[in-house]
Amino acid sequence: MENLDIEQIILKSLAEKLSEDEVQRLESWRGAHPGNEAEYQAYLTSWDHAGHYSASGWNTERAWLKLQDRIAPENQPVKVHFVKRIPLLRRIGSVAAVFLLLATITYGVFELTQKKAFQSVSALEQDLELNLADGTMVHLKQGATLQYPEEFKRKARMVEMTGQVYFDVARDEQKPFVVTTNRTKVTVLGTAFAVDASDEQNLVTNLYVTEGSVAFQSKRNDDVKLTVQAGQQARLEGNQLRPIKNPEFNDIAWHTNTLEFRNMRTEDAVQDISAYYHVEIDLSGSLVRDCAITAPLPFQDAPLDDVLEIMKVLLDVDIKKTGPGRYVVEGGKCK
Amino acid sequence: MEGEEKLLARFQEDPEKAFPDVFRAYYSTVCDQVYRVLGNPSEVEDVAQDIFYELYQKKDQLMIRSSLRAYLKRMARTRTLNHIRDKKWKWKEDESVLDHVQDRDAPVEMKMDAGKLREYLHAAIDRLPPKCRIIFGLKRFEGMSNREIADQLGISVKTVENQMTTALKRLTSAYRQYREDE
Repeated sequence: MENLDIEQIILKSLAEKLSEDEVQRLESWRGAHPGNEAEYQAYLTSWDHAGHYSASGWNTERAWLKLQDRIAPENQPVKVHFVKRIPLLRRIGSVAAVFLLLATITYGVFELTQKKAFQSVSALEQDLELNLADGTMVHLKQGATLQYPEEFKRKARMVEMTGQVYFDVARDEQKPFVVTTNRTKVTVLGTAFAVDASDEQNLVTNLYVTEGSVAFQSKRNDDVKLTVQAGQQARLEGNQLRPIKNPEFNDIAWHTNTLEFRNMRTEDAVQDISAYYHVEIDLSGSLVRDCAITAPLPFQDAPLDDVLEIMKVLLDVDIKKTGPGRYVVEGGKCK
Repeated sequence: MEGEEKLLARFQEDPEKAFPDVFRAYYSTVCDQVYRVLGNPSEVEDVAQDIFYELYQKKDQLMIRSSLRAYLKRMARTRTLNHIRDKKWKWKEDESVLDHVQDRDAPVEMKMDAGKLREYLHAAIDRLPPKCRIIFGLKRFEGMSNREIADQLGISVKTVENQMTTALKRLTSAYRQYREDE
């Protein structure tokens, strides 16, 4: 009975305020035996960490199509209008010219309204993945925005973006896919690449190509352009467009889930790790900042602990956790 | 990046036009919230559809004083509770702590940045018996008291306590498992 009581008090303590009496009983129970305190900590930790329970991968675009079906009648008068005119045009041959004119105007109006049918998405809170009408897959990093037409009717598939976005473009030789940012224009037929326009206020735009080849161009000056191949990175900085010698593909780990360290300065490697795992790693007390580090294999989908474990071995350092998401690196030497 | 306040302002000015943006901005958030209580992705998607359909229908006469996020949060909670009530579960049969365990399907993939311990705990939550899981969800994620949960579900406070005991036993045993494996 006593045990059952204390269990209920512990449970209550997790979510509610205890009464004076309950506080005292809990305190004395915790002090009575070292095992009790451990038990109490197990409850606390489990409760705390269970709070991070969540799921990802909700398919927003599929859900949107479903919802649109439900609210369709109010929402799509334009399309219905357009479909009606076509058989009319076919039936009456003699006055076809008149109707052709009419249809052209209607089509023009239709085109105009269609141009307005631009969707815009913002990855406000977390990364967002979506499929465009042509089958192109897009991954927006948190903070990115994308504007795209519901259907690609024009000669080129045009989209506009800010922030960091990865594109896996469905191949269509007839319709190039064109991504524009404030400062740059990227043209492809069917490849995969990431554009980082998150630093455009400082006039820097990065392009990372993971598949195929991509034409990278300044928006201000069409002549400033460069073809970038798979495995390469290019940067527009001010008015200078140049390939990057040692491509920093860790910069798009948010999409690839892969971190790779080949003959890198430790400080840079640690920066990449911090950015990817959203943690703070303090190197100031260690001697390895400028050491070169090479991990034997890339880390793919690896938990942070695995990465830190390998770092410890490679650099002969001690890594201590000092708080949630905070680590301190100590000691070590270049090898 | 458009801020939430700006989006709300656009939504109040021209609800029809801004609705798709609102949907895209908050769909995942709403699903997450409902998922934390219901746990079954396909049920979650159904409930989320109803929430946004309701929002669409009400969009022209809405008065949102706080924020869209807070408004949708309240809607999500109400809809989730209604959904549970509509199941017309026989809660009474389920009062025993040593309740028969039935593992449910694995949930949708977990977030990558969750640490190992969280993976253990999340797996344990996923394996809670369905009703136990819902009671835990209402308590942990919706912050409801035992009394509120009991009233909502038409069961006794004792049952809520028992189910919470079961849930926490499972979680702490997952925690110990994690300690052993590490």
